[in-house]
Amino acid sequence: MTKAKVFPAKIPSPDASGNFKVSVEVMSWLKEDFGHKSLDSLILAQTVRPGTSLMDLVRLLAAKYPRFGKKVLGHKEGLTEYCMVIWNGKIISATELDIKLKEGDVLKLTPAFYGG
Amino acid sequence: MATIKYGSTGKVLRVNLTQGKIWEEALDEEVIRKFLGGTGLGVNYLVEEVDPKIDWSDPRNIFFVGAGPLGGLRIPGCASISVVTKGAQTNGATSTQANGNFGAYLKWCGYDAIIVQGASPTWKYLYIRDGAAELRDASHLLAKDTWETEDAIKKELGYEERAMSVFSIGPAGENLVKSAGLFGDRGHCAAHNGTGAVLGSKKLKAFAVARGTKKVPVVDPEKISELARQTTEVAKNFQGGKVYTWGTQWVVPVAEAAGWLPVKNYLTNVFPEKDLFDGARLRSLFEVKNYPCYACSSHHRGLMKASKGKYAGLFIKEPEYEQWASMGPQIQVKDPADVLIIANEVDRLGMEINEVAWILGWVMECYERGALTKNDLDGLEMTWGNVDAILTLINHIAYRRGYGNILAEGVKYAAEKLGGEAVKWAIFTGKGSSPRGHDHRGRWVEMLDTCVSDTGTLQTQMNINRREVWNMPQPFDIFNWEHVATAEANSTGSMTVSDCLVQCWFTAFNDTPLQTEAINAATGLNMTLDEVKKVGRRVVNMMRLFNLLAGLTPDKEKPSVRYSSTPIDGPTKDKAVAPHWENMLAKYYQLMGWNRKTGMPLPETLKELGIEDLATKWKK
Repeated sequence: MTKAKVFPAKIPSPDASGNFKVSVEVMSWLKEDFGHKSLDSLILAQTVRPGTSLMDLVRLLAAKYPRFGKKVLGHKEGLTEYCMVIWNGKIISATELDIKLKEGDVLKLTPAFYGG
Repeated sequence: MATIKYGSTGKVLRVNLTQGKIWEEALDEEVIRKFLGGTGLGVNYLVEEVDPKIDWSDPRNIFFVGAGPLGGLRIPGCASISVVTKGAQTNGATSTQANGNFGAYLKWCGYDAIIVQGASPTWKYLYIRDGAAELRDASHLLAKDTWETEDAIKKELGYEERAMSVFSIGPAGENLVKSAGLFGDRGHCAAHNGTGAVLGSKKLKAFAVARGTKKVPVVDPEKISELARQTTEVAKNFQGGKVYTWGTQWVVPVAEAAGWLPVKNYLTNVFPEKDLFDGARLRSLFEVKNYPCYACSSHHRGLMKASKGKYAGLFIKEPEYEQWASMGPQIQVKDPADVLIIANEVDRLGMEINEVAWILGWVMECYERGALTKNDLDGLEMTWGNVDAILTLINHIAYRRGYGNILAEGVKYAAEKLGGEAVKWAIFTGKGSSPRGHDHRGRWVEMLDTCVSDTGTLQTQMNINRREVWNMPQPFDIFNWEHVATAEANSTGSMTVSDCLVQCWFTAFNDTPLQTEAINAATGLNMTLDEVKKVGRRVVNMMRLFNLLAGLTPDKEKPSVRYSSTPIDGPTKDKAVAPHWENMLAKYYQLMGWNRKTGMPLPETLKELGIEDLATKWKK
């Protein structure tokens, strides 16, 4: 079985400025965009400001991980055809990316895949 | 008529099984310009020679097996074959492809395609070698499975493993099971829409083609080498190179996370055991030896040996995602080792695995709800994941034993025969075809594609590689019916071009501009990108005309109740496609240039594609 890698192990409460953390699991080949070559799971604890939307989070990750950024923002196909966003167990369509994040939100980024 | 000289052998092989006659026919350059090869060429033969109104099992039906203009060249993914016929499941046009080596070997023997017609009075197989072909007795091959048939023919004719390509039907095809397919080169298949049943009706057990020695002439060999290199780069890099490295072994957990893994006959979208099916884990459990198709360096599917556990020693082709999904979560088999053995059995019996999965899932749900009992099922306890019962039932289907005889007609037929609420639990299209191994309630574009397809399986697949070429909508929301209809309509023809070239999707990923360069370097036809795109749409519209005359009506272009139900859990919970279906279909028809009431391509659509004469011919 693969082992989950969590950074850090515990997600803290909001800090003094109200910033909080959300969990982002990056799946399959997208992990390589985040410099993660191991077969282990990749789960990030990402700090965000109050009012941050799903799209803001993607932009934040894109800035932090340029390889991901180049593909996901520079991608001619648009975000959801390179990468699916699953927010608290719900798949997000392109028109729902303005949803505001809240503390404890759990996200998954999976590669988009079509075909058999 | 001018015979095509480049990218082609200039010939097809004709076989009349009723008369036991074999002959060669020249290929016209203009036909290749209009249809390229593979699916296009096959569809041209189908519409020219087959009355759409005949039954699929009528000896007048043809069975086309063909390579494309890149077949036999070093461009990866082009050794494949396309099968075109009037299929058993929909009784309509069929186009389905298999990878492997057959297409290359066939061209090296001197033929672009084989067209079989008639029906043999006794069982035969077709043996092809350099510039020659013969029908041989196959009575000793009856009841042999697809792997045994491959072994037996190679041994009988004295060929080593990779010196011959054999594609055959298993017991299911012999018994005219509607989900029977054509299998060969150790687990590759062209299995959709009952191709195996068509061959069974013709009493043709197998095609065996030796690795011929004739070179396929091309106009620009250096350019072909360069394009081979470029195509390999596309294969290596597209979608992170995941398919190139892992095949489809990584898909199950991703599909579950995104809500399109088929789980328990669509009763749920949650499969807690998903990580057991992760590619890295699977390849650590089983020894995998590379067994590539000709000219392909991808590690997509190898030969797999179970090195430990209860099936230690079992030697099979590494399953595709659809095999893991269909014989795993769909029927609640949770141990990948069990999935391996069931998938292997289905392949050997010669049945299309997704249709078998929908049948099994429906039977299990009926059993759980009491609509089918142990008594109805010949003593089988069809509880979810019961491996022994599953293995027995799939054999009953292949040999048409007991209740298996009803199931052999397909899940739509079986559900409608049982009637009542049970019809609502079955997954099928109004045409009688089966979805691929996904939960399309999370992939609306593929649900629409499956329902409007004229091939008996997916026809289009949204083009996500060269979307600018195929004018994909921006932005694209996968749950917006207008976006979905537009993406499907605008992509139409893209996959068909690949099927006319008979190029594996996992190499060029429908890179139409790259494919256009390859067509021209091989054939010298100097086709423009627009001309190539038009070939794809022309072929689609020809199949549509054929199917309309075969009895297709627009009301059949819809998913069954369960197929279009609303997910109750998982990532796609509450995403309801059914309320949008009529609007989505209407929009798709409009964009395709088809009449909403009849489904018929409009005169201007046919004229634009240069096939207005076809409608006139059939009107007579």
